Amino acid sequence: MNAPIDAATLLGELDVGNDKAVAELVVLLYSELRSLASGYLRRERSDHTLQTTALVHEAYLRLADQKEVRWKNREQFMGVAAQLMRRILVDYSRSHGAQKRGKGLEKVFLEEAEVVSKGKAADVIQLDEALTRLAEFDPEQAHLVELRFFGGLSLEETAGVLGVSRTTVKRNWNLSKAWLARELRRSDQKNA
Amino acid sequence: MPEKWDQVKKMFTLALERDPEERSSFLRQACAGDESLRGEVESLLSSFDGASTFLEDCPAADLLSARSREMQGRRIGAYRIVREIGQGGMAVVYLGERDDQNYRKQVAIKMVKTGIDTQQVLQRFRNERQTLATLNHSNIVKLLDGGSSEDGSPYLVMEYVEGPPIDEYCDRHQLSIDDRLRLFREVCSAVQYAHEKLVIHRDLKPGNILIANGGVPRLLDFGIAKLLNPDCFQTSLVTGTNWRPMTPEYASPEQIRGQAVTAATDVYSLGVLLFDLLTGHRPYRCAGQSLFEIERLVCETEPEKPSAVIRKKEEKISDGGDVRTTITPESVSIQRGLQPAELQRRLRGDLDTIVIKALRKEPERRYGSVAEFSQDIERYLAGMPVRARKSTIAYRSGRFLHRHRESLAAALVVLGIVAGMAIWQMHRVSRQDAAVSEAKNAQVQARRSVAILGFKNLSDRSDTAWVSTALSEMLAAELAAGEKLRTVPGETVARMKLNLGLRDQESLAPETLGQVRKNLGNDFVVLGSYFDLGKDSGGQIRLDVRLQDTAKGETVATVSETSAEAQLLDLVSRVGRKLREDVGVVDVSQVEAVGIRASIPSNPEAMRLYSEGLAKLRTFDALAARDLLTRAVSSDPAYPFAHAELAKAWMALGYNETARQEAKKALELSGKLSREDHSMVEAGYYEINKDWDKAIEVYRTLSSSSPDSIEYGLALANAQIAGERGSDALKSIARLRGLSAAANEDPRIDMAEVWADYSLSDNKGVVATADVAIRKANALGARLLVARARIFQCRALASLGQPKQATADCEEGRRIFHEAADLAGESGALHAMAEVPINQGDLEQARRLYEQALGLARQTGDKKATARELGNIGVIYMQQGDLVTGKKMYAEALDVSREIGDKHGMEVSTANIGDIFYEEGRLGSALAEFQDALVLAREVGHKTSEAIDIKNIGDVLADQGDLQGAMQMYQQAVSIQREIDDKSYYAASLVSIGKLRRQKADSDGARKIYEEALTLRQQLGEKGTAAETQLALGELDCDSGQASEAETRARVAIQEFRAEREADLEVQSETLLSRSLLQQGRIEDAQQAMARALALSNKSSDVTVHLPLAIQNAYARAAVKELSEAERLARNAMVEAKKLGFVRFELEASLAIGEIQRQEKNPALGRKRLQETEETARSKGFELIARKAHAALEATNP
Repeated sequence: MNAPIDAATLLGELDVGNDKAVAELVVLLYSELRSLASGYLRRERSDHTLQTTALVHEAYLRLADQKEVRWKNREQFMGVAAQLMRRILVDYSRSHGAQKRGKGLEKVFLEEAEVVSKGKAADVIQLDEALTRLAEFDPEQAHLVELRFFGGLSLEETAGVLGVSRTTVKRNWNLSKAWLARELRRSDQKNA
Repeated sequence: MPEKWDQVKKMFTLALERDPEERSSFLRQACAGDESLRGEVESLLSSFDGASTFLEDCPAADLLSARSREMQGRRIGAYRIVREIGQGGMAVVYLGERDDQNYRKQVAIKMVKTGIDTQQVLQRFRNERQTLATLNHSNIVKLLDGGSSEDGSPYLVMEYVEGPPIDEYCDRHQLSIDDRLRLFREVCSAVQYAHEKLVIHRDLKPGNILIANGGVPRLLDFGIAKLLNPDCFQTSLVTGTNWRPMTPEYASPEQIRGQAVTAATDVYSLGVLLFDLLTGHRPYRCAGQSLFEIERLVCETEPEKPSAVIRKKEEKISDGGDVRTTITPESVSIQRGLQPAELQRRLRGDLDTIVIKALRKEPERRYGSVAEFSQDIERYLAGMPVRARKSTIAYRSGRFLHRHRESLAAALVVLGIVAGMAIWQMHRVSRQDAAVSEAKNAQVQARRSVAILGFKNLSDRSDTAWVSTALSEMLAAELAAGEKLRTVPGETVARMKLNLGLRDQESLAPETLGQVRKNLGNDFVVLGSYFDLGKDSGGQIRLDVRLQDTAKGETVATVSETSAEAQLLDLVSRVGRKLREDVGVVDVSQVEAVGIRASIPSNPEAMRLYSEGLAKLRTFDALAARDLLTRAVSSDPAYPFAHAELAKAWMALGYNETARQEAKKALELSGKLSREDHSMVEAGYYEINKDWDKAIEVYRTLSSSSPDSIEYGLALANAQIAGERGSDALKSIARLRGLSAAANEDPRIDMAEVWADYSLSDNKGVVATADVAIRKANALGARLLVARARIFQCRALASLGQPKQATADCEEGRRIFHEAADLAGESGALHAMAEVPINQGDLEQARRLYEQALGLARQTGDKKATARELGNIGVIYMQQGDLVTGKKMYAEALDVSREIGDKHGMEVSTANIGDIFYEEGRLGSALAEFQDALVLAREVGHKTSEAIDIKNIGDVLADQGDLQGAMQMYQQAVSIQREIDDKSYYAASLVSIGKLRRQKADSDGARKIYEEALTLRQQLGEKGTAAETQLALGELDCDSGQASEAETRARVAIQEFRAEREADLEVQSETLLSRSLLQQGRIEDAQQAMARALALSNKSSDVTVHLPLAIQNAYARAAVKELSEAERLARNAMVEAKKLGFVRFELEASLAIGEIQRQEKNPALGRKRLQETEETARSKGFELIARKAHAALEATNP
C-alpha cells in the first residue's frame, strides 16, 4: 500500500495542463462538493442542481480513496476540494483567457455573474487575487468565500461544513461580498 | 490588515441589521467619534448595496451549462443536436433531429463525454454497437445508427422514447399491485431476451425503463454500461480501484465490490426495481453516503421486507438525484389504490419472499434466471404457491418468540416513560432555556439566562448538605418570577455538573465559566457558599453569593446575608432582590410573590426533606428519594412540587399507579403556581397517564409562548415520539435546530431525533444520528448522553444484523453508566446487550447478561425492570428445559408485577407459568393459569395475548377430552387472530384445529387445514413450526396407511430439529419415524428409532412428549413379541395419563393394551378392552380411536 498523501501534495500535483481532464474534474468535484455538503442537511432541501450518482462516486474515489489519501474528516475534504476547485477554475480561466484574447484575462465563463455596480463580467483571476489578500488578515472569511463561490455550496451547506449557524454564514458572506466587491472595483479603477 | 478589522466587522453587521435609513445615524452614535471606523463601515455598506448579485453564481455551474450549450446545433452524422436530455455515468444523451427530405424524425444521440474518448473506448464502442444491433425486441429501444462525429467522438443513435420512467408512470396512474407486477413481467421479458443474446444490462433502474404511449415499457441503455469500464479513462488521480459507475441503489453487491457481473446481477437490479414498484421505497438508502458506507449497506446489511418498509416515512431521491419526495405509508398506499393495512397484507408473505429472494447478496442464491423470477410472479398472480423459499431464518419456538417479544415491548414502553420523565424533570423549574446566543432576532430582546450552580457547604457538616439544593431551588424561583430572566432547570444543571465533574465551589475560573456557557448557553451563573452554625447556635445561616458573567469570565456582583434557618425564604428574597438589581431586572410584584411562595414548601422541615429528596433523585437513587419525598409530602401536604417529584420517584421504581396518584395531587395543588410551572405539572400528569395528546397540547402551548426555549421544544418532541407521532416530532426537532447556532450544537436535539428515528424503525437513521449526538455530546463532556446514544445505536445495529458493533456500543454505554453510578442506565444497557446473543441463539450468554441486569434492577429498586428481567431469565431456563428454575423465575416476576399493579406484566408471567404446568402434565393447574392470564389480557386489552391464552385453554380442554369446548375456544382464537392479522399464531391455532379434526376421524379436513398452516409457516420463514406441521401431517399419513410418506416427513423434521437443538421435537419426530417404520414392517429400523427417541427423552420433562413415546414404545415391543413388557409399558402410560387427566392419551394407551392383549394367551381379555375403548372413545367424540379399536376387534374376531 502506498504511503498516505497529504492534502497539500494533492493540490501541488494537480496537472491543469490538460483541458479535457480539467473540465472532467470540474464536473466531478462540483458534484461531489454538492453531494457531500448536502449530506449535512439530512432532511428537506430540493435544490440539487446536478445529479449525484455515478459522478459522485467517481469523484470520491479520485479524491478520497482511503488507500491513497487520509482525510481527517469530511470538513477537511470539503475544504481541500473547494480549494482545488478554485485552483482549477483560476488556472482554466487564465489559460482560456489568454488563448481567446491574447491579452487580459477576463470574461471566461462568468457571463452571468455581474460585478458590483458596473454590470461587468466578474474576473475570476482578480477575484482570486483579492481573496488571497483577504485571507492574509481574515482567513476564515476567505475560506467561506471559497466554499460558497468556488465550491458552489448554499448557505445551509456552508453552515454545515463550517459548523456554524446559517445566520452566521449569511452575515459573514455579506461582509465578504462587500469587501471583495469594493476591492475589485478599486483594482479596476487602478487598471483603468 | 485594515485598521480595527474586528470592530469594522462588528459594526458592519450591526448596521446591516438595521433599516437602511437608520444606518447612518446608528453608525454615528455607535462609532462614538471614531471617524475612520465610521468611514470604513460606510464604504463597505455602500459597496454591499451595489453587490446584490455579486458572487451569487458559481463559476463551476456556469461552466457546466456552457459546455452543454456548446453542443447545441452541432451536427452529428445526419442529425442535428437540439438539446441535452440527460447525463448518465460517463455519457451524455442529446435529443437529435433528422430533417432531410421533408421527414423529421426525433432520435436520442448518446455520446461519450469529452475527455475519455481514447482508442480503447472507440474499439469498445464499435463492439457494443454490433451487440446492440442484434437486439430486436418490442420492449427494447432500437439502435438506429452510430459512428464518429467530425472530431472523432463516438456516438450511438437510438430511437427517441418519450414517456415517464416506470416508477413515475405507475404512481401517476395509481396502478394496482397486480398491474404493476404485470408491467414488471414485461420488463423481465426484455431483459431475459437480452440475456439469451448474451447481453447483460448492468444498469437497470427506473430512469432506463420508460413507459411509452400505450403503457409499453421500453428499455434504454442496453449494454452501455460495458462501455463505462473505468480502466478506459484513468487519469492521474485515479487510484486503480476496480470501480464501475452505476446507480448505487440499484447496484448489486458484486458490482459494488467490482466482482464478476453475470445475469444474476440483472436479477438483483430487477429485484430492486420490483421493491421500488411495490413499496415506493428502495431497499437501501445510498444517497449522500460515502462509497464505503454504500458498500457496507449493500454488501452487509439485510434489506427490510417490503411489507415492513411501507410503514416507514422517508425521503426518496429520484435516481437522477434531483427530485426529493417524502413518502409515507398513506402516500404509497394511495398510489396503489389501497389502504396502508391492505397494502401491508398484500405484500406480506409471497411478495416479500419473492423480492427478498431476488435481492440475495450471493448471486447463486437469487433466482437462477430472469425467466424464473418472472414465472414466480406469474404463479403469484395466478394464486399458486411461489417457489421462493426462505433460506436461513433461525428456528425458535413460537412461544419463546412471543414471550420474548412481550418483554421487549414492555421494555420499550418503560424506556419511553423514563425518557418522558427525564424531560419533565428537566423542566420542573421551567422558565429557562439552555442555549440562547448570538443568533437572536434583533427585534426580540432575548431574556438573559441564569444557572444556579449550588453553594459550597463551609460548615463541613453533612447534615446541612441539603441547604445548597434548597437555596438553589428558592433562588431559582425568586429570579425567574416575572419571566424577565430565565433560569436553567436544576435538573439540567445537576446533569452538567455530573458530566463535567464540577463540585460546589465559591467561584469559577474564566475557562470553567466558558465551559459552563458552552454546556448551558447561559449568560450568568450564581454560586457561592453558606455557613450553617446548626440548631445548637440558633440556626443561623450565613450566605455568600456570587454572580458571574460566563461570557466575560468575571464576577459581576457579590452579596452576603445572614439569617436564621427558619427565615431562609426571607434570606433568599433579599439576595434575589439584590441580584435582580445587579442584572437590571425589576423587582417581583405582589402577584409574582404569591407564585414564589407557592413554589416553596411552607416549613423548613419540608424544605429540607424535599431538597434532600431532590438531590437523591438527581443522583439516580430513587429509593432514598422516595422515602425522603414521602416525608416531605407528609410534612407539607399542600406543596405541589413534592408530590410531583414523589411521582417521579415512584415511576422510576416501576409503581405506575402510585405515581399517577401523586401526579394527580400535584396537579390539584398547582393552582397558585406561575403559569409555566403550572403547565409543567399538568404536562407531567398527562405523561404519567400516557395521555400523550394532552401532554403534546400543553407542551405546544408552552413552546409557542417561548419559541426560543429548547427545553420546551424537546419536551414537545419527546411527547410526540412517545405518542407515536414520530414524524411530527421530526418537524419539531427541525424547528429546534434552526433556533440558534448553539441549538445546532445541542446534542439533546440529536438525541430526540435518534429516539424519533428509532420509533419509526429507521435503524440506519438511528445509527447515523446517534453518531452526531455522540460527537456533540463528547465535545460538551455530556457523558450520560453519549451512553444513551450508544444504547440506541446498539439496538439499531442489532436489528441491522451487526452483532459485533452492537455489542461494542452497548458495552460502551454500560461502562459510562457504570462510571456515573447510574445503575438504572447500566441495567438498561445490559438488557439491550442481551438481545444480541438472543438473536444468535446463544442462550447462555443472554442469560448471564439478563442476570446482571436483574442484579442492578434490584439494587435500584426498579420493580418493573426487576419483573422484566426475571421473566426473560425464566424464558431462557424454560427454553433450556429447566422447568423448575423457569417456574421459580416466573413466579417471582409475577409477585413483583403484582406488587406494582402491572397487569400486563402479570399476564405474561401467568401465561408462562401455565405453559410450565402444561409441560408437567398438570392440566388443571395449567387451565387455571391460562384462564387467569386471559382475564388479565382482556383487562389490558392485549389482543395477541388474549388469542394465545384462548388457544392454550382449548389445547387443555382437548387433552381433557372436551373436544367441543376446545373447538369453541379455537374458533374464538382464530377470529381474533384474523382481526389483528397475526399470521404466526393463526397458524398455531389452525394446527390445533387440525388435530381436533383428526381425532374426529375427519382426516381430509385435518389434512387441508394442516396444509394451510404449513404454507403460512413456510411463507413466514418459520422453519421449525413448519417442521412441526410436517409431523402432524405424518401422523395423518400413518392413519391412512401411507407410512412411507410419513417416514420421509419424519426424517426431514429430525434433521431440522437436530440442527436447531430442539430435543423435545426431535423425540416426537423419532417417535413418528418409529411408528411409520413399524407399519412398513421394518421392525429393526423401528427399534433403532425408538432407542434414539428414548435416549433423547431423558432430558425432557414434558409429559406430552413422554406419554405418546411410551405408547409407541409399547407397540415396538409388541412387534418383537415382548408382549408382557409391551403391556406393562402401555398400562403405565394409561395410569399416568388417567392420573394427569389426559383423556386422549388414556384412550390411546387403552387401545394399545387391547391390541397387545389380543395377541396374548387370552385374546378375550383384549377383545373386551377393545370393545370398552371403542365405546368410551365414541361417546367422547374420539372417533379415530373408536374406529381403530373397532378395526382391531374385527381383526381379532374368530
